[in-house]
Amino acid sequence: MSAPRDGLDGRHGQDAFVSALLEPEAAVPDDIAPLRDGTPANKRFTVYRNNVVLSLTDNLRAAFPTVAALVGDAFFNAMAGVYVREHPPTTPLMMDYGSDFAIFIEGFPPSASVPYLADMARLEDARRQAYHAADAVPAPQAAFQRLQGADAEVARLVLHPAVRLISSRFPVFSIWQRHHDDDARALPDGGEDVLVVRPQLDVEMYLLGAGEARFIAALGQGKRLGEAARDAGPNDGFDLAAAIARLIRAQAVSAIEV
Amino acid sequence: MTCFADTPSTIPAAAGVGLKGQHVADILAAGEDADAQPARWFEVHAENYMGAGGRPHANLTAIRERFPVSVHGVGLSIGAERGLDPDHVARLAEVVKRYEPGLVSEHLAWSTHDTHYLNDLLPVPYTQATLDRVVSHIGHVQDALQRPILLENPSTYVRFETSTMSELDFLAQIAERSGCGLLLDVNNVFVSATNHGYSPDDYLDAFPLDAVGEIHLGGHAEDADDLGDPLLIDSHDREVIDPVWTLYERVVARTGPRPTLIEWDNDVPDWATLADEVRHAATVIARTAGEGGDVRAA
Amino acid sequence: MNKTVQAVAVAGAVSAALAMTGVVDTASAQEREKCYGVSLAGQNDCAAGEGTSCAGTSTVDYQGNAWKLVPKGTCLTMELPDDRKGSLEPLDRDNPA
Repeated sequence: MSAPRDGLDGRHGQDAFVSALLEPEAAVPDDIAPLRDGTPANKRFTVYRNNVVLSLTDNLRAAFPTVAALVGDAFFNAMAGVYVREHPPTTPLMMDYGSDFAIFIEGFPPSASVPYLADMARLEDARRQAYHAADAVPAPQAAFQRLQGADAEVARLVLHPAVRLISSRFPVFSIWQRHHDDDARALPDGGEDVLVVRPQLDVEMYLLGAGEARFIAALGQGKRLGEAARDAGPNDGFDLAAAIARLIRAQAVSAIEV
Repeated sequence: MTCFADTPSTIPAAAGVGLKGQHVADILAAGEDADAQPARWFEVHAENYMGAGGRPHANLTAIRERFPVSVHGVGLSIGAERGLDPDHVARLAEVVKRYEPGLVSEHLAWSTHDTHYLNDLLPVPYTQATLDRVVSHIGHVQDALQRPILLENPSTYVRFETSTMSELDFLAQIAERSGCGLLLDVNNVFVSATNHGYSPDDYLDAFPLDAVGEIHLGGHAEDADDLGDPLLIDSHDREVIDPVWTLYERVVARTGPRPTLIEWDNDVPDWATLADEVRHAATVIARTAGEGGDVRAA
Repeated sequence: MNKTVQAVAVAGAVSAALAMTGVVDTASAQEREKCYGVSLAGQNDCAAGEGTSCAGTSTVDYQGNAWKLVPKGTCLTMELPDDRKGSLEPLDRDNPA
């Protein structure tokens, strides 16, 4: 805590202001002028208190619209309110706020009845990251055509900066899709792997096979094409040609290093 | 990177508007049609263009190729007791370098504390200690950007018992000591004057208008405090009200045309509605210029 | 699989992939989702939120009454195959003491 300033004792200055902002029960700081009848300026101070929580909650709602829709506004506002007070932003960039919201959701007991909620938050955070990721020109088809013979096996496919992979033990892609398309079909068994890309300016998602997800993850780790294909394994119906074709179509490769 | 060398970078003494992503297509489609698109320049919040790439930068690049742009920071926390974040100053410098804005502005407020960013423009007490700190921070930012900035008068909801000078004296001394200009938000004057029971006309009569490089106009919400006294909230979610237009007209009658921005950040309307507000400001400016007002830009 | 065979297989897969991309993308809508939203941006603004003097003033939120907080959104219609789904029943375990 900073030393008292301006000859005032008690709770004042920005330390006190911040504490009172993030604690709904806290009294108005001592250096805030009272109302004309000498009573504390509660409602006036509350404008700041609420603006912090509401503006951050609104930012979370914009970033995690499917999470919000899945649990409803009342639940989302309460959950976000707790998160905002426990985890205020650490930088002024609202485009990054909530990157650990999924971890918070996992430890938030009231959300336990929606077991896939945290993974939905991971998927939506990945979509936002992809939206803001650096621009990169996709590798042209000619670059793939040059991959002949032994070069192909040792080539490194550099993934576009927007590429994200989300692997969930829940069918998060299908849940996202059912929600956005107002689709009532039953959800598939088991988990899903999702590729998030941004070919131009719009974010797209692809549902992957498990081997394909391992293959792309290995490429993301900088492994060579042959090694990544081996990582994908012979099972799960992994089709190397189809996996490469998807990466080309999705414009998910920005360079090829041989 | 796109070169803006052939694009005018000076903000004209005319009406502009805060840029919203959802309006970019309408703005570009209007082309040179001044009826469909009356804004002569656009302002962006610096922090929204601090991401690496993607649509925000594509939008702003397209706008910047055609119009002057000003950069309005909302996260620098000029009034912070804990000091400026050098990383954020560097990010702002990067945005300024990339888009070559005609004006760069920030707020007389704070929003960071230790590792926290509070996402609101929080008030400062008007004391000598605050003044020294703010002047020092502005100097640091101006050095980093290699250009003067404008500092905006705040909307406030509380006063500090520790304040030893008026907001006017405080702002005037900041401008004099730091060499920065001022961004006069006329709606903020109306909001703060109403909230704290002083006359907005008296405030504006005494405002150091020579230092004003830009004017903001926006809408506010009406509320009341615990005693039922009026409490106006700077919500930027509706039209500018008539009393604020009247204050603005009196200001430009004295200053002549100045770059004037319509701010609408919440419940953002369609482009046609926003364009009406821009037209209103443009009409006031044109009338002033027609009456032979001082057309010198600050 | 020896090294040479592997190299040939990978090169063959690249050629096959290029052939596939030459035809119309047959990935069905079921496998691919595209979104044009601007809401992904995350916005910094300089305005106060609406109703900030009254909204959220309640100090009775999650702190202290977690068991009263129940999801009521579309999760209730999202039925997982093993019959797990969002429940209307308040969570009666893990209550804060």
